[in-house]
Amino acid sequence: MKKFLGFIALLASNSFFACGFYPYGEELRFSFFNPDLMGYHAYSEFYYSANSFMPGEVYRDFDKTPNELLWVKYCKNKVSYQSVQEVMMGMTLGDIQPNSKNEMLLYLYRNKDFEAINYLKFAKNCEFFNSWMEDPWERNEVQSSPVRKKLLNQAIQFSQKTKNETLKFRYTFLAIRMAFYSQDVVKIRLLFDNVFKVKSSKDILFYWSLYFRVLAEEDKALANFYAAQVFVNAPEKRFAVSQYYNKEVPIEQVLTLAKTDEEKANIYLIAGILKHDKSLDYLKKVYEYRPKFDGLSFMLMREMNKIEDWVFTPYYSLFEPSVETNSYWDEEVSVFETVQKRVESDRNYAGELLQFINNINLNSVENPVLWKTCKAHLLFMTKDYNNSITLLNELEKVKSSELITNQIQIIKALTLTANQEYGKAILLDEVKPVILRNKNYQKFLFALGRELEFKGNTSDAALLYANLGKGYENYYENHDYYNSVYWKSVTNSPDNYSDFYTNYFDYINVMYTPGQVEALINNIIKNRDREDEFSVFKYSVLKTEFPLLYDLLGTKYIRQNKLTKAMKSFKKVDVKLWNEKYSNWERSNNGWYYGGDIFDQNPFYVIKYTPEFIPIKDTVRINKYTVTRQLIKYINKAENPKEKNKDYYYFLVGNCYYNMTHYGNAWMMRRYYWTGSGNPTSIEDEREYHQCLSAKTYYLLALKNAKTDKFKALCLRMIARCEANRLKHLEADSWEDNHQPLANKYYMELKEKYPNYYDELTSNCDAFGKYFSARR
Amino acid sequence: MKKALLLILVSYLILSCQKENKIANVEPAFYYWKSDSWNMSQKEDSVRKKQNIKKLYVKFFEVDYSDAMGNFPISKTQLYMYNLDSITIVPTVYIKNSVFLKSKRSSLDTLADNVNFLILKFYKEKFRDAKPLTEFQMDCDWTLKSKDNYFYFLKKLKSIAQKEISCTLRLYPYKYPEKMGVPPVDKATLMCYNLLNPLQNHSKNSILDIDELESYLDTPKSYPKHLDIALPIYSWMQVYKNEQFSNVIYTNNKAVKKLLKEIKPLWYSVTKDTVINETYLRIGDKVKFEEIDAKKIEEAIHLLKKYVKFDKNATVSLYHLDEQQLSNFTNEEISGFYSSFSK
Repeated sequence: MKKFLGFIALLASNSFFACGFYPYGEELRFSFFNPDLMGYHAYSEFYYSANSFMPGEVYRDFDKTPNELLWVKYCKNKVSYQSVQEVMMGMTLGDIQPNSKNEMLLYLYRNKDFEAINYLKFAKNCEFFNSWMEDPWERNEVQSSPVRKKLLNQAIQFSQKTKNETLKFRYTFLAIRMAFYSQDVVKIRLLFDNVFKVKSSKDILFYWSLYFRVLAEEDKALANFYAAQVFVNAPEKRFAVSQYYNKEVPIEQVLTLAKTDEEKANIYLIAGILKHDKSLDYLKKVYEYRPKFDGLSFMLMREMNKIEDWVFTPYYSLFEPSVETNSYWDEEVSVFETVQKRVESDRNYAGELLQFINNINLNSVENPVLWKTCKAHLLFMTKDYNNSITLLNELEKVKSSELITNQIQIIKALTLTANQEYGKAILLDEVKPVILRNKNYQKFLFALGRELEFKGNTSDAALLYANLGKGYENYYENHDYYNSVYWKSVTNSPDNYSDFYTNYFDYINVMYTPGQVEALINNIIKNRDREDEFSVFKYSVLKTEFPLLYDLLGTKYIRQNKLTKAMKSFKKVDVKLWNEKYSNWERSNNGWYYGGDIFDQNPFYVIKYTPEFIPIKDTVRINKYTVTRQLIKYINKAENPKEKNKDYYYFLVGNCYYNMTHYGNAWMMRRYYWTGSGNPTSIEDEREYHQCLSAKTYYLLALKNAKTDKFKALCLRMIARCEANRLKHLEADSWEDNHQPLANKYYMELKEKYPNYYDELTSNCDAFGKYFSARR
Repeated sequence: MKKALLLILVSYLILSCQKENKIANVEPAFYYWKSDSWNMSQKEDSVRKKQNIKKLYVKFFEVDYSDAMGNFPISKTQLYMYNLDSITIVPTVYIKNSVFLKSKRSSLDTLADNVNFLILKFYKEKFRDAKPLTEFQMDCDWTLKSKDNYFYFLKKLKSIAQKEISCTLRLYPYKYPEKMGVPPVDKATLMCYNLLNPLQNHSKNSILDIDELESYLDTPKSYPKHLDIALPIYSWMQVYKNEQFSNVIYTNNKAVKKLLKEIKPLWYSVTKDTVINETYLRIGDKVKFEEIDAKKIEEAIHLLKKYVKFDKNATVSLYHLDEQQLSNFTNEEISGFYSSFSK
């Protein structure tokens, strides 16, 4: 054995196919409607995403929180919000002193509101116990509980003694919270039902207490009802309380407990947001009961993102929507068709949502501009492009932030591009500046490319795809972990080693015809010197890649066995590429990493794992061009009726074709990477590549023209080898368990006709030289 | 006449000869004050190695007080260190002054025992294969009223722990030891930063103002304990919204400076709406940018050498070992801080 190349899973581009990597979830999800721009930050924990819900910050730095606003009101608006914030967030017990310079404390001391001061001190004291900390010094002693119980009782006493209404509720809230940490649900219920239930105004304290009441309620429907009210009215508790909403309880039961329209709307809201499937029915109900509700607008946005995932993800990338489970084991059935059918029905659902929006008066909702934007996007999704464009034009005129305008322009760019006829689709002038402004937004660029590709403009599509992946420097900017694109093609099957693409080259390697590659090359030649900003961007990657593209074109012709055309293409490849990519063995500094890409053996004379048995007659420097040229030359010689050594030339040609398969040393004539396990692809010459069909044909011709027995035997041996590979490849396709190797008729023939040579030829390859030189 | 002249000349020479105090052997060190990091970042580690730092003051936890709970620990460190290769760790504990204002003697005994227990527990859990501990450092900004309790605690800790006890020393107690007392420790680290209340003096850099420093150091007496030095290498920005103090940001100085326009020394105005860390800076907000650069440190070192009488061997530490703060200095500057003391 000469060289054991081992497992080489290298690709000449910057993709990574590490074992086990498979994109899923947020990496796959297509969404052009960024919910973060629309101003519903208080609901941000529930943005639609493939990830599970997670707690987040619902108040931004500059938001004013309800509890602190309550205190400002308590101080009759005579103190600043910041001073209240400082007392609540920044101070400890020791800081509450008469000589403090804080405005709020000054106000309270000046007005001799010692009850409030004492309340604040008491509350600060309790802070430590609003947690599960039992053993602060880690000495495994139980320290907190008895003290917490004492404080709890004190809080109840204070609440009963005080005549100050506000403080009564505040003390009770403290007691309820400590009862929770003491895990005393009876007390929670008691305190809430006796004190808070009869409270006339429902402020944040009411809802915070209600939150703990949810946790203490045994009746599931009632708990759900309470949870819905807390969900809407206490933003900081949204994530927590959503965990306690029991989806098993039928919503009708919960609704019976609601007395007002608002309460009903709240129930539909929480139920609708927690749904992963279609929520239009609930959305309609929320509208019915509470049209001017910001939660309703948020629900609409969420629904939009859902439909985007259901429609765009499969439509553009041919992956299933990100939130569906990866049904790996069902992939024998054509998932592709099922999913594409679903896309159509999901477009219909988008139509239903659109109809709903059309039937309502937009002045009755809280954010008409948002609803109009959603409408425009839905028109795009239902392929009503003209109306979408009209509405988007209108929206562009509305004064909005830069980011929202960009959002609208992105949708418009997609719509305009999609609204073109097959065969006449181009990158419109109006779309170009939008691309430039968003050139790192990979899924957007990809979607545009796809629209063009679906409509036959494969060149522009490839040029856009080539610009993907350049955004890795922004990988972590703005938490944009998911700014990447993965896509499949229709011809992928699950047993392809890599059944998805991440870059243009792999994709056009498999999917583009030679004609399409030529068109692409011509397009680049024609336009690469344009100086406008968009052309510079568009051609920046590919205008330096001519060698690779010509290499690809030639390779595609080889796959189609159009040798002359292949040769012409290979001739145009810059010698530099041949030197760098395919001949590095000469410099012997790349070790075995490049071992697969190089032409280190002459494919006409040398076969892998076989001692050299043919005297080498050419001294050609080997690269794709020279191999092709030589191949044509030898075929012509062999087919020349006057040629006396036809068997010799046919044999060399057979060797070359054999080496251009998976088993040879010139596999790079047909493929860009090689793996030991065979790596099935959907490339057009897959059968030839694994079954050595052409090699067999030429060896048979050599056999036909051979003059001596020994040489005939050798030819037969090579034919049998090709046949063995063919059978192995067929076998691998079958799912049957019986591993009966189909009989190799050429080995049988060899044994029959040349029994004396059979053992020597088949036990090893050392004797080939003897048989070859016995040709004449 | 001649004799008088000679006397004047000689005494002039003697008086004008200001000898600079050097530290013959500087032991370089860093403070590591972060509670939330599991390990040091690559950059922090590489600075430590490049500067050949063999001593680290690591904050293990802080102690706070509440009426109900008494003294309890907070901000416990999450740090783990495995490759210690002969580094000395000095566990540091920051204790709030209220602890000593409120505690009774009996609870101070418990506190000393608890502090010792928790330090040893963390050291065993988080600093594997480490050298045995030899020193603890206590950090407390004690006042006149808490002085007696604090000193009692320090003595008690020494007797329980049986290790060297050091403590931090602010410049005020350094200058007025007869008023503030001299803590019963083996050595003290003089903290040459946070000389002013950050919110009060608008025209001075509250982290390190050279004039303020000089006014504290200029004292005829020498301090009766062995002194080590701690210098600041951090900067921060105080954010003022609507002329009200809002919060503090620690971040990359150069990146943020691009958004700021100087109004007067130390003060800047925000020119672009940006989110930095979790703060949303808006146009019109004001920022007091208190920066420390190498020049300032060198000035401080010069003053220290002028006024402080050092022992032959002393530790010089920088506060604090943080990747972002370190990015404002070059390696040469940092090693310069240490070596300046011996020049």
